[in-house]
Amino acid sequence: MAGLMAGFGHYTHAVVRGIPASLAKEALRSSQTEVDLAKAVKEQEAYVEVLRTRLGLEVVELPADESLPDCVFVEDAAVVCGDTALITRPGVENRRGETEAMKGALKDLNLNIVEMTDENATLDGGDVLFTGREFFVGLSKRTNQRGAEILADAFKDYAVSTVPVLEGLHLKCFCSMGGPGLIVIGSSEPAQKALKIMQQMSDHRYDKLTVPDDLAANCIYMNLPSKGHVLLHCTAEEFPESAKVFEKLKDHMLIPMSNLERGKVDGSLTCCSVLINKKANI
Amino acid sequence: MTTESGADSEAKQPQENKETEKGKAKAASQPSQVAAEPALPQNQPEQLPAAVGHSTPARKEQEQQEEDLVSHRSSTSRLSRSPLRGVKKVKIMQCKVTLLDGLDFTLNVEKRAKGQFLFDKVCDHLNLLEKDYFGITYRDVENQKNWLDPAKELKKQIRTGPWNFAFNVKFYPPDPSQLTEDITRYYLCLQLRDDVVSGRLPCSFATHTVLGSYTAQSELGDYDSEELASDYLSELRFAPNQTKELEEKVMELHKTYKGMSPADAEMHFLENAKKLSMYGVDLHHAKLVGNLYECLAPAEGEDSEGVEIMLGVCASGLLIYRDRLRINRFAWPKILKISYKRNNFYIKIRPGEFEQFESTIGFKLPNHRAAKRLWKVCVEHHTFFRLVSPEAPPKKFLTLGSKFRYSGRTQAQTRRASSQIIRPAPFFERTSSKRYNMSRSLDGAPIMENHETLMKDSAADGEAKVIAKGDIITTVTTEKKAEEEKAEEGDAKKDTAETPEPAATSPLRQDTKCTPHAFTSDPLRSELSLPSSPISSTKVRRRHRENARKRASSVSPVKSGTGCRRRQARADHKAALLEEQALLLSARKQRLEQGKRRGGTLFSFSLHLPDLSSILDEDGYITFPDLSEMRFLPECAQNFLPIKSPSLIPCFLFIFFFLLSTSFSVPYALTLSFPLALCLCYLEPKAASLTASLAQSYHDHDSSEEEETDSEQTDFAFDGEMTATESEADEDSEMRTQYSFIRRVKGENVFIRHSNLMLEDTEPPAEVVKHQTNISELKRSFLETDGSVTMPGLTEWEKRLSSSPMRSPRSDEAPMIEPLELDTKEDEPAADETKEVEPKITEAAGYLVKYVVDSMTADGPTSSGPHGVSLSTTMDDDVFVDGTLREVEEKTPESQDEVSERLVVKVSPGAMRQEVSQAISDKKGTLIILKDVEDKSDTEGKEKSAVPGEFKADEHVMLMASKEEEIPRADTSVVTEAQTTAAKMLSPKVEIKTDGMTQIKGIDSPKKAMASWISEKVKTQTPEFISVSTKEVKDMKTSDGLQERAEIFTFKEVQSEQITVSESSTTSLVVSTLECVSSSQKAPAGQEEKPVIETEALPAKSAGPTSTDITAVATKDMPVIHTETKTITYEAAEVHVTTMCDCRSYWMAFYVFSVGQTVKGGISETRIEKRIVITGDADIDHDEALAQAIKEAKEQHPDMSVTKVVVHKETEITPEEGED
Repeated sequence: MAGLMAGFGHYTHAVVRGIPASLAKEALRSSQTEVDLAKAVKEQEAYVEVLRTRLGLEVVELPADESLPDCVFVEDAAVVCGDTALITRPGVENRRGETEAMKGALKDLNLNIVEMTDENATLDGGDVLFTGREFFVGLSKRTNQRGAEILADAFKDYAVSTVPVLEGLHLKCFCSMGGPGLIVIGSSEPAQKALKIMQQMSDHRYDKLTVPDDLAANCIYMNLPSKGHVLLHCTAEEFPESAKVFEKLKDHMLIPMSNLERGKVDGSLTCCSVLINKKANI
Repeated sequence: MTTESGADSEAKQPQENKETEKGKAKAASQPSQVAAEPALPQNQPEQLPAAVGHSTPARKEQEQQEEDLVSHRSSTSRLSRSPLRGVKKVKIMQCKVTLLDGLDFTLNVEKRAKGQFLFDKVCDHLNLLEKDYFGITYRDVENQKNWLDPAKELKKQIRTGPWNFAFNVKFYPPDPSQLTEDITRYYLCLQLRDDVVSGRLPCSFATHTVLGSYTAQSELGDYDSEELASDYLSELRFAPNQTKELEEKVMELHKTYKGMSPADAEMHFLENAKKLSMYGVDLHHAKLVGNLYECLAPAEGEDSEGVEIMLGVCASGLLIYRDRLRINRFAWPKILKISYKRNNFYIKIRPGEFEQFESTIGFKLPNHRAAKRLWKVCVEHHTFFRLVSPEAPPKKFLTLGSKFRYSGRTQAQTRRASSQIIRPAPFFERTSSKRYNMSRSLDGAPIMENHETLMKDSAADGEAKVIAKGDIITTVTTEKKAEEEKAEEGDAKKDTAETPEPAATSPLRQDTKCTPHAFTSDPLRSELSLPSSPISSTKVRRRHRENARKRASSVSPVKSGTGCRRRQARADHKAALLEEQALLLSARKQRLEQGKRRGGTLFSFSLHLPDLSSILDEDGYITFPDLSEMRFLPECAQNFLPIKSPSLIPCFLFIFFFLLSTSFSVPYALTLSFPLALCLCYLEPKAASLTASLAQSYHDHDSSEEEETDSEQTDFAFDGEMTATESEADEDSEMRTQYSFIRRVKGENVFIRHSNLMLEDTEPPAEVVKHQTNISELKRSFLETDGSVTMPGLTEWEKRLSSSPMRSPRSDEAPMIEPLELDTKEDEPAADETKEVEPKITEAAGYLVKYVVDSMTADGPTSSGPHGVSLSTTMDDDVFVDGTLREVEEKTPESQDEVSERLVVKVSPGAMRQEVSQAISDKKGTLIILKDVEDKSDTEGKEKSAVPGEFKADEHVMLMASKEEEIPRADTSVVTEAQTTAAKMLSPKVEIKTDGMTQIKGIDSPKKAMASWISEKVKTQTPEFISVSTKEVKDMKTSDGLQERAEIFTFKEVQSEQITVSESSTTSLVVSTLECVSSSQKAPAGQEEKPVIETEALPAKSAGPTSTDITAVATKDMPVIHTETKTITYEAAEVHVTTMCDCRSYWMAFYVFSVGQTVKGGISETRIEKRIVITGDADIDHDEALAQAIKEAKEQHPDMSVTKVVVHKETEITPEEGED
């Protein structure tokens, strides 16, 4: 147990959710583009497949809910760290229903559930960046101070720093973790600025991997017992330049994941799963 | 020993250790003269109260006695030196220290014992060697935890209530595994357990479980289902809200630890605990001041003003929390300066990637004490974790504010030291963590001590220290590279500090210490039996009487020869000066009192304090405000200056004695003192008007300020004493210490200088000549920028250059600077000040120093020329100077400290004189103008930094008759030149100087009429003196002293300073001088004429980016070793220019303080402080760089006015240069 906080990237379980048909038309998006539902579903299936078979995670698949067009983006509904799961209160009101199913699933996994009941608090999981040593919470259109405070209360061991998200939907729309102490960051000015803030706020040193495209900076890092460093990242079709950057990571097992259709409704790779590490002990 | 070592509080632990040993060694040879100084339990067993047995069984008692014995002996040895002390009964206080295991350790200490004493005792008791991470806390009136200052007496820190303390971890090691001893980790664990249980260290359930399990393992050993009841854990505390579930989880984990040793369990505990985000974070409630949105990155659109936050001080820097969220973090390297003012706490932030300039962030704390507490914690943490060696308390000449510094070892030092620990791992029992039902009876003395081992260890420790010194450079981590040299310095400091103080400790010192403010405030009363103040104590009176006696006795000797009795003379002199200061204070006090109650007093006296003593190291708080803001003495402070109205006779007597003591002949003294006394008396009414004007601008203050003021005064008094009595060596060491990197530039603001924080490296020395060239260039550029103004200015300059006779001889040697001064002097005759000044100012743009000088001179002449200066006043000054001079001469070899001290002392008299002169002027009507000017200046002060101006003027001892302005000028010029000259050491000038002397003499007789003249000449002389080589200078001085030239005196002072500087090649002196200069500069600002001029100048310049003037300080060639920092602050009415430049470590940092706008009266000002650091070697044209920087700043903030430029200069000095 000495490594209470060690093992960043160790995951055993993943919670995902199906894509409702309503996603194509009703899901929130920042740009008016048509989503090919079939393709989106395919992407999601591939995604789940990688998690389950290639990476060996125990995947909990929640059924889609047509009344919740964004329900596939489970990340926003919960933040899980260690054995504690914070059920969020998403910034968009009609997404708050998504948390119900998530709560149930996490309960089933025997996590300690913390619910965000404060009506003034909003928090999207997409604004929460856990680096292994601390949390950064983007203060965005979807997440406010109060939400961040509740998160800080839920995860007392860690420092929780706030980062203004001036552009983009979520904090993790332009950054994510690419490894222990490695932040993948977009090259846009807001992204770089946010990184600076994070670096300043942190007691820890982080390396950064700058990718040309902000959206490409969203990737999924795992450290799996049998696989070592694993990185799910964008495909060369979507972001050719950024993909090249990822390809330079020699120590990682690189798995390009297409996110084209989901990306049209502001979905990203991390958005589509909640990763959980259920240890044998405790 | 610690307790008694007032003088060497700075010496710190190492020394103390040594002393302890010494004490033991001496024990045999120095039996107790205890008769006089009783008190230690050993002698009076009955005094050893039941407390001993309280929590500790018999064994402990024995030990304690032993300890006491040691302390007793050592203290005895010291006591023997001070005869008077014996008279007093030393009070023994019982201290209860709550240890980390929850037990109380009771011991008896002398009432006067210092914090260090108690701390050492506790550490001894705990058998703790790595004690630098720990500290002792006490609760103040508000029940807030404060750290006991080891250098301060206990009784001064615990003002009320029982002497209850707690032993705590002060600095949480970021990596506990680097601690050397298990026992240290054990105590750290105990602390952390308490932190966790109390909720200070929040953690998740899982973490509680883990930490709890290790706690159980370390305390209870392996889980044993047979031995342990199922609820065996319930008596241990793991969390604030401990649940059965938690206990079960803990037990589960506990079962898995079989075979784990307690030490390992603790290590695991620490490894987990240290990762917690709040590990070692010391939280302070605060509110944001101002809308610093961009700095804090709060939610969008949120107004951060007044937001409740928490400031967390930790090893890496300062964390800012809002609720539980970290909203910002300032690592130590990011922080340029930490300061507090009243309730406010400020940090100045190094510009980041996105900001071009530094910014200052303010926080409002609940009260002043909280602000101070936070500030202290910050200073300590910064020093401990970031520096290689502690910084000496600020010894600056004109230091305002707290002298508090962290005096212990830094982490780097303590690591080195603890790596030398050679004892076998001490055995200790891990008895009790906090339990639900802890029965005290069980825990006797949990920790076994082996006293012998301890002693040995301490010796080893000392060794380690020495070794550490040698190691420093090599061991230093890269990050601290820049500080390496500092470390060196620090060590050197330590060395000096460790040298035993030879001189006899004078009883006076102690006394003064006890009743500082009383002394300060009412010297007259005590000595002359004036209306007695309630505050003044018998001690004080006694002291004064003694002083008087001394002085009287010294009179004749002084006359006879400078050489003999210098020590005595010096002491007397100092005492006299002190008293004079006190007088001044009281006079001021009166003024204020008569005026509006709330009117602020000039806090100037704090400036005058000879702040020599590191001993004091009081963090005497000073509400010393920013230059612009609070210049006034808080109301409460007034209460400490009880003298209502000094009557004529007392004044007279006082002055008379003073003069006598200062080596005046009796008749002379008589003649002089009477008018002086008159003046003083006259001052009272005067004060009223002054106060009235000042009062308006004065702001709020809280009661806490009172204390601060008090303490400050204490310092003052104490300092004076010290100077008088302390040994030279001691002073020397202190001096060294004096210029630390942490220093405060203004008011109470304490700066943690970039020198520490930034990693600027030292650059090769620049040549003086070159510098000058640069300056001139700069000037030129400036001139070019502003067409209209420039032209006249230039012409003026040139004219003056050519015309001034004085200059001509010197011109070759000191081309740029001197000419200016001379010019100024010549200008004096010219009635049209404004005009003159204007051009000068323009020029000044080019060359700040010159500028200052010019303006000052110009002003001075104006006032002084027309009006006869009261000779008496002048004479007074002379006296002061004289004494100083003599001393200086004799002691040149001595420590710079002394010199600086003297300077300081003089300063205060100067202020007084000023007042006197004012009074005189009023009286006689002749000098009305003077008075007016002063008043105006005061008024001005209100609006701007009026008060500062005034007080600064005060600080400089000059010919008061000719006004403050003159004085400052002289200083400035001297300083400037001194620097330049110092490097060059021009012998030829000596002759010139002589000439000046003669002239002065001639002038002397006509005195009054010639006052202005004299001043002129004096000034002229000054430069010359500066240039003179040290020895020659000395001679000259001697002669001067004999001649008793009042006018000359002022300059002599300067000279002496300079001399000292040159001799010892100590920058510190220069620094002091510089400081003087700066203050003097400010003085002019306060005055009417100046502001006007400046204003004019500004617009003219405004076209150009620069309203700022750049001062380039000449470089000095100094032997390396000590680095000292000089700060020149230039403050004009509107424009402050301070330039800091490095000599040895050749980087220049220019601080440009852009002040939004000062609201008159209201004092509310928006201040943005920008900092430009120019690092580089001699090749860099600093002036140009600065000009450029300012220009850029201007472009960025068009409406900004540059109020101040600070040139920070670091020079390295040879430690023992001053030897004769």
